[in-house]
Order: sequence, then structure tokens, then C-alpha cells
Amino acid sequence: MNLTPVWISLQLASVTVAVLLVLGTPLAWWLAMGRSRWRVAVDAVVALPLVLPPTVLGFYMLILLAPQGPVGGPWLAVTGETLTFSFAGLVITSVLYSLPFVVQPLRDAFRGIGPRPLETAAMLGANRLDAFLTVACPLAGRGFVTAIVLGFAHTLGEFGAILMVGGSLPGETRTVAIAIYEHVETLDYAAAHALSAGLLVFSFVALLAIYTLNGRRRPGIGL
Amino acid sequence: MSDQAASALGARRGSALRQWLLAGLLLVIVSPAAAAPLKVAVASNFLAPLEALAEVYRQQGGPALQISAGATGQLYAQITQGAPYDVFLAADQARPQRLVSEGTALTGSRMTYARGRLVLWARPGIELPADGLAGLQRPSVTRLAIANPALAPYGRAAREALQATGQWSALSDRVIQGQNVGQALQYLATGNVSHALVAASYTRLENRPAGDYQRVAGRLHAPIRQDAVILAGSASADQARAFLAFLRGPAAADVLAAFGYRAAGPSP
Amino acid sequence: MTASPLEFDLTLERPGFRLRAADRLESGITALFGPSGCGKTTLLRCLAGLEPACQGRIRHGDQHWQGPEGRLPPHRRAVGLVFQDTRLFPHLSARENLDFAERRRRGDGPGRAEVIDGLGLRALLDQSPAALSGGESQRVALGRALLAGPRILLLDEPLSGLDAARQSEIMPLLRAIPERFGVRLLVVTHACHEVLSLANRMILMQAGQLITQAPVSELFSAPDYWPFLGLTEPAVLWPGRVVARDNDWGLTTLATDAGRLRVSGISAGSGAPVMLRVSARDVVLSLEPPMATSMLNSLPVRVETLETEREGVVRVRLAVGHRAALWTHVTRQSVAALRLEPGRRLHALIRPEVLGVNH
Repeated sequence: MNLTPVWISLQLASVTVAVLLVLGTPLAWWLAMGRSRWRVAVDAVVALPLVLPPTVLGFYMLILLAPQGPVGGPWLAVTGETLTFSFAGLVITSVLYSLPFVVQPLRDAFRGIGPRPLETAAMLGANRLDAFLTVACPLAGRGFVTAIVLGFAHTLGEFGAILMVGGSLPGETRTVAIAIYEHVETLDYAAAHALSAGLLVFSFVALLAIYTLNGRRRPGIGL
Repeated sequence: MSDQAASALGARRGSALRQWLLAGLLLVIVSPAAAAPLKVAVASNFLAPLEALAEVYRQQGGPALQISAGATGQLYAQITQGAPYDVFLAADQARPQRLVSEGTALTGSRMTYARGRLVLWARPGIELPADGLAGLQRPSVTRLAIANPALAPYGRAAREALQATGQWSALSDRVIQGQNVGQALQYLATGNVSHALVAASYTRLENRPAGDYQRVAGRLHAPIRQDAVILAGSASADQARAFLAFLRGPAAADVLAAFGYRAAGPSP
Repeated sequence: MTASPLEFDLTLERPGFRLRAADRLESGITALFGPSGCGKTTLLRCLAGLEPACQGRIRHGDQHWQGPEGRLPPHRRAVGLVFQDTRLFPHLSARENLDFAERRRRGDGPGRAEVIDGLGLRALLDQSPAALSGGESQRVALGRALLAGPRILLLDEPLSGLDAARQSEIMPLLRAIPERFGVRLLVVTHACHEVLSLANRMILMQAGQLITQAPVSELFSAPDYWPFLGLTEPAVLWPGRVVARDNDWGLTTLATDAGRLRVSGISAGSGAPVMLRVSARDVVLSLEPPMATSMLNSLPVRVETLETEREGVVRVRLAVGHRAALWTHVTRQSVAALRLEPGRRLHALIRPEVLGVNH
């Protein structure tokens, strides 16, 4: 059986989670601590991928990332590559698709910490960034684990949006979920079973790990 | 109001609901077969022609069609799991053949109901090679979308046509495979590919994408035969047979031609 | 280490609450005293820079913390705040909590060994905050605040939530801080005995307003402030100094403005300052110098004023020794029997209460 799609999916999930941690952590912090009147609106935008069908995201991505599109065009001009049918395009799509799964646990973890430890850190001479890195982030440790595991598992399981923008290029954009779909379509049920069972077991272990870590408390996301 | 219904009202809401459901079910079971619609599972690419055909068939006095559209592979999987269709109109020959050999479809019921054609489509503002597929190696062809040859008959035909004109290996890094012809056309419509090889039936869509297209010579690929079967579990096999006969007839041929298909021709 | 004064003039408006506070903090320990909800903690937070809505000026020496020029962020003010709930970082051990502060030290300050030994933290270093008792947590929080090198340390009810034994353990540590570490203290409290045992100066606060500020002994001796202090019993505070010790009987002789007094239960050496309190109920008047009583101390006094306190009871203010005062209650019958009137000289037997000893 060809395991390249598994490798592609693992790469995609890793890169997506890494990008989401870099972008999502400050966003989650702002959502948890900010006093802007835009906060509620941004919170709602972050949650959109939870309720929208993946086809909506896939459809808009197909337009935005197209060589003449508002994102794909500049990207093509700068890199000489097109975004659709490329790994980079999948990363952008996955980042949006998995955004709530990373941002929401982080936001809830930061909210749970509250302003007090940061005040304490300021009283001991720590500036805001210092307090964020040395106090808030370690205290939000569980939130980070939940965010990483959920973001990773959810990206692995992504199908609809990737199907629309990926083009199923072997070794580039054919992820494990798409490979399963194609195996089912071509009646190769043995291969479909093997990949599906692997994904099922992985997802179960990941969720089990989170729930065990968080004790009886459910992670702060609609699962 | 009958005594029974009155007593149902007095009972708990849940039990009243259950009684009504039961009554409805009995109605379905005892009603004469003639009134029941024919349940047809159809490959998505043939949905629009089938809806037109259903109207013609009804005008000829045939029963109404209850149409379920989906990808051929998905419909096949549903049928093997006992989905209650009477007729299956696939986009290929393989799945109907397989249903017959598995005993899920009636032996001898398989027939080709339509033959598809390929067109080469170019995005607006991008030239269509004057020499057809042979001209696809020009720089203006940045990306060529086809359906996945492993999944879709139109994909397989596209590959055969590209191989026949010696383009397949030269174009391999420009070819993008959609899950089906619909997706290949979607890539063209959203500007993500410059050209696409898709089913001719799309040129008859009212809201077809802009851009020029040209027919691909049928001799460049094996015929794209779409086969139909009657399912073994059908309670209306006679009516199903009548419908398949209608599909082979002259009235259906006009509709097929209008939607860019060729008449069924000789059955395999 | 020279200590610069902290001057402030602040207002803070909240729905249903208005803080208005201006004062100048001098060296030593200042108690910020008032009923719950009067704004004591809010004032500390304003001084620390944790209340963005706070308006006004704060100046520490020649450094402006807050004013029209802008405001210094909390972490750049030479201020430490020990919160009532200690707020040790739960993800760090006691030692790491101390390290956190020491790595971010803002200026001169007590050394690590000095803090650890002074506050008795050595045995606690490897514990996690969750494993520490209330008193232990308070000591670690105090040490952590000192290691950050503040010039001014704000303590929010550092003794509340501790039992009497723990309080008496921490009290001497707090009292020693100004002299030992060159840090001035502002301590929030609403318990009189904490003010008396800790502070040399106090600020009275009520409903967001600073009512007055004065040396502790003055405020406690002034009848006008007794209602604010919640005192039902008139009392005076006498600062004293150890002059002699009788080891045979375990008695210490103190020199005060009222005269020499002998008390038990002090182990301090000669010259050590001691604060005494004498309540009205611990004063008995006698016409003649008593020959033999169980009260150790008797002083010649002169009646200054007589005031009817309630039906049948008269409050008497007495002058004693060198400008010291004393209060007592007598019945109207005793006023007649002793022929009490301003200027009358007689003797007072007193039982002073030892409040605090600075070692």
C-alpha cells in the first residue's frame, strides 16, 4: 500500500499546527484579555469553521488562491508558484479550517488564568512580554496541549476543503483523507480499510490523551 | 374522528405519533404498485438530462421518477449495502457490470443508455489550440484539468486521448486531476487552470463557464459508455424495464443529443 | 541605602465609589487603616500602577511614576506588592518563585541569603506553593517581593488568614524590614492590634477618603479618632526603652515619658524600644502611694479633665510624668469620695500591656 498520503497528511498537520501556534497564540491572548469592541466579532469569525460546511471554505479558497485571485495573484508574483494544487495552498486552507481548534482552547486557557498572575509578575519587575512568556504560557500548558492535539488531529481528518483546492497531486496534495475517498471510489476497500482504521485509532488516542490530561473536564471546544 | 384516533389523542404524545407512523407505513405497503414512483439512482453528470427525460416520460404516461444523484462509486457502495433503488444509471460500465456479477442487479438488464463526448475548454481570454490536443504543449496551457482517470470514465477517456496524441507524458506536470469532470470544470471556472478536458454535456448547461471549447474527436479514446441496470431488489422490475426501453427509444435520443450525449448505440 | 519619600495625590472614580487620597510616605512602617471596602487595597493598586483608571500624580524622590508627563508601567516602578492571597506562581517551586524576582531585580536590595535566612525560608525552597501553609506562603511571598529590589513595599493584609501563632512568627520579620533592608512599608490592615504591633505611623481611611495621618501613639491617644479605630475603651500608647533587667524575677525595667515601669515577658536587651499600651480599665486611682498590691507599677498623677461618659460613669484624663497622659473610668461616687477635680494630685496603679519589641 502506498503510504505517501499518510506522510503528506502528517507534514500538513505539523506545519499547520506550527503556523497556528505562531498566529493563534497572540490572537487567543487578545481574545482572552483584550477590551476592544471588535473582540466579540473576531471571536465569532474564529468559530466560523466549526459551523460552516468545508465546501464553503473550499469554494472561497478556490477563488482567493487562484492565480488571478487576491491571495494567489500576489503569491504567484512573489514566488512564481501557484497556490492552488500546492502544499502551501493546503497549509493556508488548513490553517483557516483548524483555526478554532487551536485558538479556542488557548483563549479559554488564557481566560482561566486571568489578570492576577500577570499583575504579580509586573510587581516583580516583569514587562508584559516577559510575563506572557514566563507566566501566562506555562500556566496555559494544558490549553497548549489541547490546542496542539486537536489542531493536529482535525487537520489530519480534513477532507472537503482540501478536496476542492488540492487537486489530489500524488506526493504533493493527496492527503490520507483523499486517498481513502479514492480507494473507496475505485473499490479498493482493503486499502481504504487500512488507512481509515489507522486514522480512527490515531484520532481516538489523541482525544483520549486530551481527556485524560484534562481529567473529567471537557476541553473548551464543541466536541 | 374515529374512536381509535380519539383514543390515540388521549394517550401520550409519543404513542400517538407512533400510531400515525404505523398507519402511514401500512398505507405505503398496501397501495397499488402502479402509483409508486420509480426510484432511480443516477451519476451526477447525467442528472440534468435525466430530469428532462423524466418529464418526457411522464408526458408519455409513465410513472414519476424519484431521482437520487451521487458519485457512481458512492451510489455503488450504497446499493451493495441494500439501498432500495429500482434502476441505477452509472457513469461507467464497471460498476453496473460488477453489480450484475455480484447478483445485486438483474442478469441481462445491463444496457448502455448514453455515450459521452469530450470537449477541450479554455478559460476566457486564453486561446484554444487550433490544432486541437496536439497543440496543448504551448506555453499558454499552464494547467490542464481532467477528471481522475482512476475514478471517472471521462478521466480515463481524457488520458487515452492525450496518449493517442502523444501529449500525456509531456503534459504530466501540468495536468490537474479533479475527483470527477464536475470538479475539473470547477477548476476552470474559478480560474485555477487554463484548460480542461470535460464532458460535452456541460456545454449545454445554461450557466456554463465562459470561454471557448471544441469537441475532441471520438476516435482518440474508447467510447465513454454509461450503463444502466435494474436492481435485483426492485419491487417494480417490470416498470424499470419499460423505463430502460424508453431510454433506448427515439424520444430519449433527442433529449440525449440536446444534452451533448450521443445516442446509446449498440449495447455491449 | 537612602530612601526617597513617596508622594501621591490620586483620585479614582468608580460607580458608587470615589477614591481621593494624598499623602507623603516617610520611612519606617505606615499602617493604612480603615474598615473593609473603604478603598485600602485600591489605593495600593493605584500606587503600584495596576489601576489604569486612576488619575493624579505619584512621585518617588525625583522620579515621576504618574502625572501629566505620563505614567511609568508597573514593572518599572520601584514598588513591590504582596497580595493578600500571596499569589505565588503555582507552576514554580518556592525557590523558582524567588529566582523569578531576583532575576528581574530593579535596584539595590537585600541579598538572597539574607532574605532566605531572615524569613526562615531555607526549608521551604524545594516545596511547591500548593504544599505550603498560609504562613509559609506569606513568608515566601514576602521574600519574593524583597528580592525584586523594591524601595517601597506594599503589603495587603499580610496577617489576615493566619492564626495567632503564625502572626507572632511573621510580625517580627515585618517589623525588621525597614531597618534591615532599607525598604519602607505601607501595610493595609483593619485590625488595631496589627497597627499597634507593626507601625510607627498610620493613615486613617474611610469611604475612599484619607481622614488623617499621624504617628500611631498620637492617633491612638486622641479621643477624636477612637470611633474610627473602633476603640470602646480609652487607652494610651507609650513608647519606651529597656533600661534594666532583673533576671531573678524575670522583670524588665522600661523608661517611658510617664516614668519607669516594670514589666514581665520581655527578653530584649538594654536600649531596645518597646511599645506599651495602658487601657482605662487597667488604671486604678489611690489617694496614698500603695504599700503592697499585686500591681507592680504605681505613678504619681494629676487630674486634668473630668467628663461624664454615661450615667454614673466619669472619664478622667490624668497627666503623668513628662508630658504623658493616661485615661481611667471612675464612678460618680468615687469622684466624690476621692474629691476628684482638675489639679488634684494622687496615685495611679497601672498594668501596662506590652505590644511589641524591636530586637
